[in-house]
Amino acid sequence: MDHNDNNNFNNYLSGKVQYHDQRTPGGPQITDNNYSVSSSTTSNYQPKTSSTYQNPSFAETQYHGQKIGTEFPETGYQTGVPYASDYSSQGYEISNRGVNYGTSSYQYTPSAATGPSGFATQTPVYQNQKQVMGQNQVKGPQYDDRDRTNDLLSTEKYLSSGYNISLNEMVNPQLHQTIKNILNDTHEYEHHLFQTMMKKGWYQVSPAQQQEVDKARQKFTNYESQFPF
Amino acid sequence: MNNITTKELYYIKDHLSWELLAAKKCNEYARQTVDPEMRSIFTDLGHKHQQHYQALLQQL
Repeated sequence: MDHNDNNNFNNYLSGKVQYHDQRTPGGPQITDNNYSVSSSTTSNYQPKTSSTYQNPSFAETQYHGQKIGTEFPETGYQTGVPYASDYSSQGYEISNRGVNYGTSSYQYTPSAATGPSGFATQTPVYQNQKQVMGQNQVKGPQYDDRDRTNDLLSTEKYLSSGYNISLNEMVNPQLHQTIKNILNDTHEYEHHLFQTMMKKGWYQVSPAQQQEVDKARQKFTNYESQFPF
Repeated sequence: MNNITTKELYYIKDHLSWELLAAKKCNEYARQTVDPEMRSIFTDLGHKHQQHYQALLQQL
């Protein structure tokens, strides 16, 4: 997988580019939900009432049709290919400076700091929020929107685990289908919440080291000699 | 529909409880937040869980 195009990953971080296997090995990894307190952490999210950015609602699942980004040869996944849970494409456009959310003041600015792999190594923040919040903002014990969203994220994960288990036990065909539909829904909600957190800079991911990816690809490419078919 | 196994019934009862709890939680979070955008997200999500509840209930 060619990740040399740094913009791809920035787009990914912003939720613009979607991977079907977003959080499986090989892609950028979720670290954990720990709130790291840093100057880039926007713990006290303040809504910008002047913003015209509309978060896509659950009802707005239609894909705009434009192909975004590039194809990744290894997985065959095409970024920007519409699928059922694509909530992220509403009203965004990519510019050379990042992702514009409509005409709002939410100028998405990926961190300039890059690691050895060329990826951004810091959580992206919204520039105007960073200015508003200032430096060394420390999150206190207050239960804020980030906590609420994170808790609902956990809830969706819990529900999807439960539905997945019960789906295996369903005998009645109609019941089986109902559970399967709800399971799929639950995954979509979880994904939407996750993307919301990413867009707000509430969720930190760290990209895999390109060297490690290369090693893994080499290793498992060699294993293909073991294919029985 | 009554043609379900005991195991199915057991799971559906669990799912119903979880969906109800999730819907109530979403409603509570929507009430707590001051961000209209997040309120919209929480409210939508709560409605979805309520719909799941009704879909499951219809299977009994």
